[in-house]
Amino acid sequence: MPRTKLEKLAWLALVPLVALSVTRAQDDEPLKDGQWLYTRHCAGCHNDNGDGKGPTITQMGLVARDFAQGGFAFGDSLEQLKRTITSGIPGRSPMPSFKGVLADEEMDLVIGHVRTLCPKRDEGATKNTEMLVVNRPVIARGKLPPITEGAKETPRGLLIGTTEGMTFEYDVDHVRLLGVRMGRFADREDWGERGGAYLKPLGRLIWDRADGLDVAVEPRPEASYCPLGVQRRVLTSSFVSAAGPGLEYEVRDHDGKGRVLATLRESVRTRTTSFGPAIERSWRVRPGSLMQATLVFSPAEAEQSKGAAVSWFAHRRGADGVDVTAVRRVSTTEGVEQWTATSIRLPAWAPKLAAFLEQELAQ
Amino acid sequence: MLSLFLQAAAIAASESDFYKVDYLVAPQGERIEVGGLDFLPDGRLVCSTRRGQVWIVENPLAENAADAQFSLFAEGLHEGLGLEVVNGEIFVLQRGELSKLVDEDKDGTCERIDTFSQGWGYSGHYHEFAFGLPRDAQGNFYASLNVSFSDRQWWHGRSVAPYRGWILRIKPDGSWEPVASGARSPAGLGATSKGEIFYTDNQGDWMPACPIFHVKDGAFYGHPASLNWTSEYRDSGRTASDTLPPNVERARAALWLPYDWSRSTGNLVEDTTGGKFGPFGGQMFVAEMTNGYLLRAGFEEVAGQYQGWVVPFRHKVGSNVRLRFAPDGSLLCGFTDRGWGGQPPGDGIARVRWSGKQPFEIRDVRLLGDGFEITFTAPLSEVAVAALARAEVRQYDYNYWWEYGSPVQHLTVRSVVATSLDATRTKATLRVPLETGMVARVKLPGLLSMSGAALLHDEFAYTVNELPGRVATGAHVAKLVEQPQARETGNEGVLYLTEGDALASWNATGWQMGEVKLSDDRRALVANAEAKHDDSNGPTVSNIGGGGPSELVSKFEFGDLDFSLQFQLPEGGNSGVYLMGRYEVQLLDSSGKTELKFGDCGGIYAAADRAAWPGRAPTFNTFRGAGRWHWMSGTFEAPRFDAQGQKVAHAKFKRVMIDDTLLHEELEVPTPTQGGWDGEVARGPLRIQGDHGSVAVRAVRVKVRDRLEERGDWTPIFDGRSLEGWTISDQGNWSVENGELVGRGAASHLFSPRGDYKDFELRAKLRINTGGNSGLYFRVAHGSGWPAGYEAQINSTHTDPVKTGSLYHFAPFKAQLVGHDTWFDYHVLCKDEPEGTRIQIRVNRVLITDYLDRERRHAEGHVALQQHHDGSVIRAKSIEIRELR
Repeated sequence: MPRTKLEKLAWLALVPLVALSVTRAQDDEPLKDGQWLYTRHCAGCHNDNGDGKGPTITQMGLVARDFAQGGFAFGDSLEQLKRTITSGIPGRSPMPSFKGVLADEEMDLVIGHVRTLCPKRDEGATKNTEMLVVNRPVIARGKLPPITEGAKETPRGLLIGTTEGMTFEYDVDHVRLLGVRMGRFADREDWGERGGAYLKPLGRLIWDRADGLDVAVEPRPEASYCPLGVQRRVLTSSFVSAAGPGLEYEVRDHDGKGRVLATLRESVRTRTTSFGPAIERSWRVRPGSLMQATLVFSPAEAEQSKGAAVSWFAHRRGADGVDVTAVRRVSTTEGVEQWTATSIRLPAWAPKLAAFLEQELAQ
Repeated sequence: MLSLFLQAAAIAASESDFYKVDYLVAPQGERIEVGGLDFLPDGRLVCSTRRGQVWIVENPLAENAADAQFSLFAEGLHEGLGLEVVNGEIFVLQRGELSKLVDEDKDGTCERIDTFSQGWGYSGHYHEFAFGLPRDAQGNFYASLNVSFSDRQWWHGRSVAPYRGWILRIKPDGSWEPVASGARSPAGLGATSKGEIFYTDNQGDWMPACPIFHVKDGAFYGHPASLNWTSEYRDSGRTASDTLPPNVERARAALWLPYDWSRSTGNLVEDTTGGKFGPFGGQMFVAEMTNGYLLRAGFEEVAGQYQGWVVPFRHKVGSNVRLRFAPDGSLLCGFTDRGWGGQPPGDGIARVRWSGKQPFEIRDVRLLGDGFEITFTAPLSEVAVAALARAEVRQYDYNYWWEYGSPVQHLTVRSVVATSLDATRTKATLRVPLETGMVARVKLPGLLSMSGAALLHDEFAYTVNELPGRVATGAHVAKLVEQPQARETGNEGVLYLTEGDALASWNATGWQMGEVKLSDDRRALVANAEAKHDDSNGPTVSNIGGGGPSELVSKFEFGDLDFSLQFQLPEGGNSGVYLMGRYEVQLLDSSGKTELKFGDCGGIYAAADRAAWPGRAPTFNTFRGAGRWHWMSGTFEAPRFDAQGQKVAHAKFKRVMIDDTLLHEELEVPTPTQGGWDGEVARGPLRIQGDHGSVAVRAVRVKVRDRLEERGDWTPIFDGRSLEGWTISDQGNWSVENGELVGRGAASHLFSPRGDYKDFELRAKLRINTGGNSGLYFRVAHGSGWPAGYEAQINSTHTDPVKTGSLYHFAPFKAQLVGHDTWFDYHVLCKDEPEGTRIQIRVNRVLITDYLDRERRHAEGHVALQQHHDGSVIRAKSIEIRELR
């Protein structure tokens, strides 16, 4: 399978292909040791000595993680490192997913070797206030610091940490996604001193509302019970279910005190695609809601196009690529309406690429 | 002799003979900082924590505490300071909502958190806790919302978001309503079996001690900040004053807990165990964190007002904040000390179990119109009536004011006039005249039971709001008093010691000006060139880069004073503030310490001879960490001496606080502490230690509290009404406004009517605006331009480096002693002496400049005020003179 896709995408020089080009170890091959696996799969970028200046990455004009520095954006526990290797690093990084490339025990061996390239780890260094996401998503609530410099803090915030190392950051009072981070989950600074300090997300911010990523399901204004009334979202639940973590909320009119216009269930996940990991949000509109929901999406410089099954929005074109969001509407048989928005950062945007992605997303 | 014999014969008993305490074992590495406790129908215990976790404990009542097993049910909540199980469902109070935690797949962990109730406000201030969570007979939940404390003026509780400082009622449908206001730090609530709700508050502003209030619709409990959310205030756009008592009827506390029994109160629970917990069925048990007490209390209604008694029940259990009775009749105690400093252990859960033995205790107390009826758990001995007559009864009340807590006021001994014992010998009557609106503290020394046991706890406190059978007086224990001057406007009289040219007020060895930060290894402070000093605190002064002997000694000497300063230390830091150079308040990195000694941060250090003065440990560990600014403040009284120089009163720390925590009160120190200068004197400088490693201070300020010497022979030069007789030079603009003399506009001088003042003392109450410049002239000749004469400079913030306290041209002084635009007292002595003209200048009663003009440049003249430039405004409330001969 990977090989056919590779052929199709060969024209796209910068798409992270490393994961797809390696041959999977055959079942009859003996298990290789960590160093052998590292040389084979990692050293092209990270170099034999781990300094991040391997020949492949140097050709791309980039530098990979220098293991000698000891820092890992996504955490350095066994689980976290395995997660990074399994999922790859989304966004601008060319670090691919090794899912299906390395077997679970092979990853352990690679991690064992990578650790020999790192400075000796102080086991006591991880603060006991750090919350980790290990084998299922974690939701944490607390006061969040300003997401960007100059922004306001969020007194009632909520973080959803996915097992792939993404953190979705919400303002609970307005049930709004503020941004998405990548990396370690969160430090409970508010456990220290007298309480009341921040629930501090530790990941690097990769998307925020200022980027124009503001996809939401809203009641249609014309259908509103009180068109002039102020609509407001009111949290009713947060959950970690088998289908993923998320929130449930009502859209009410009259400043949040009036009738329920719609009840929505928003779940989030990190989706692995052959173009790298993508951020995915899904909304289910509960049947019996007073009105139909529609999707609004209006970043200032969004460029819209229409695929067969999805609407495409490309926004924030930059030298390093373009942020693209695909929106699909699914109506299920029980009358439940469902929307999905998948966001991914690509090196370039072309209708042909859209067709490939669309095919994959539709699965 | 008889009583001595009987006391000696008393059978020694301890609390643990009757009530045993053991501790559940938390999972390795976990701190269970309890915020709520309840039981599931299947007998498992559920516990929410300050850290936003919810634990389920299997076998919580196992014979062996180690058999109880914790498992994490939920985490990531925004605190959980209240928990209640309703029909098997777990409700937890987070900061911003009441939540229902659901285990959808019954795997023992929570998958879904439903928002049951929300919508009250929070601004993000750290102290906006939400506490809970008892229910009344109708199934309503009750929660209480803490006020916030802003950074700048932490001593004033604030209510900047709706219903902070209120008790809320959350109905079974999830809607909620504010019930009562006036709460400050309402850390615990409790329901009685009759469905009455009580709440506990914590000492601080407007809460003179720790009270327990009955929750009643519409009640106001005394802290004004919450009134912002009453319709009356909302409609008028008014906000509550920080420093003025509101004109709103206050509810009276059912109980004021003696401060030595409760410094920080948690929740309260009723003993509904039907005797499984011993002989105290129907009584309330109260959690107390600081001393680790459990208290036992009872309420009765007198003249429609709840009031009652309280006795200690068990000491040093741990940092109790949450209590809950278990189905087997044991009392579970949940601990949290984080950030407040409590009795260790500061986290975890204890079980208190009755051993089955009957303790000899005060069972309960009923107030009579003229005394008390006291019931005991066992019959009293034959000689008890004689011992009853020795009962010590004292009454006291408190100040209702914005200051942090109140000392006991009007402490009065009441005489027991008669005693009696009923036929069962378990019910005693003390006839003692009592006053309403006071707490009565009663000690019963020497009481023995028939079997010879001594009372396990021989003291109770009763809050006498009203007396039964008497006309209701409406008297408050927390009495409205004249409010102290507001601190934020009260820089009047304060002398700044590190503002402007910060070292000018000090003899400094090895100290320097400049902002600091922690070194990379955190073991020292180093210069921080990037940091800009904070204008409201002035520059930082530190001993970094010094080495060798180092101390900071004020050039000025003080007797009684208020002092305040901010300090920071590196890891392992050690310094101290010596009042009068002699009596040390220790500054130390006391991080993590729970057993505090006199050598810990905020302790009063011992004398070298420990027998002469053993030192005093601070009541709390207030050290929040290296590299952080801490604010110390206090009031100190110098030792007193008689005319022969014999000491008649010891030096005394009337109050010492760090940040918002009271560490010492009315503490006499009989001798200089170790490292203090020898000998005791009436006046001395402030001295800050610098030879034990780096330390930084800023905003060092004092206010002299010496009694004003009021002699009647001062003559006003300015009469407060007119400038009649005064003359103005140049194009001056001088006027009288609201009794104040005001100079503004172009440069000019205002000359006194008389021009022949020679030897005198001159005093004036003055104020110069921000950026203004003026001067108080004396022995000055009338004339335009800058006149000839001596000038005591008036300048706090003008660019001229010569500041208030200087004798211009002769003795310049470059530190800013007086806050900007602040009234201050100026005092000038000018007198010819054999060697020259003696000039002394005092600012806020502290001698700043003492100068001898050997050339006697100015012999006599007017008194005058300067108007320096357009934009400068000088004001005088009074100008008085006393001529010397």
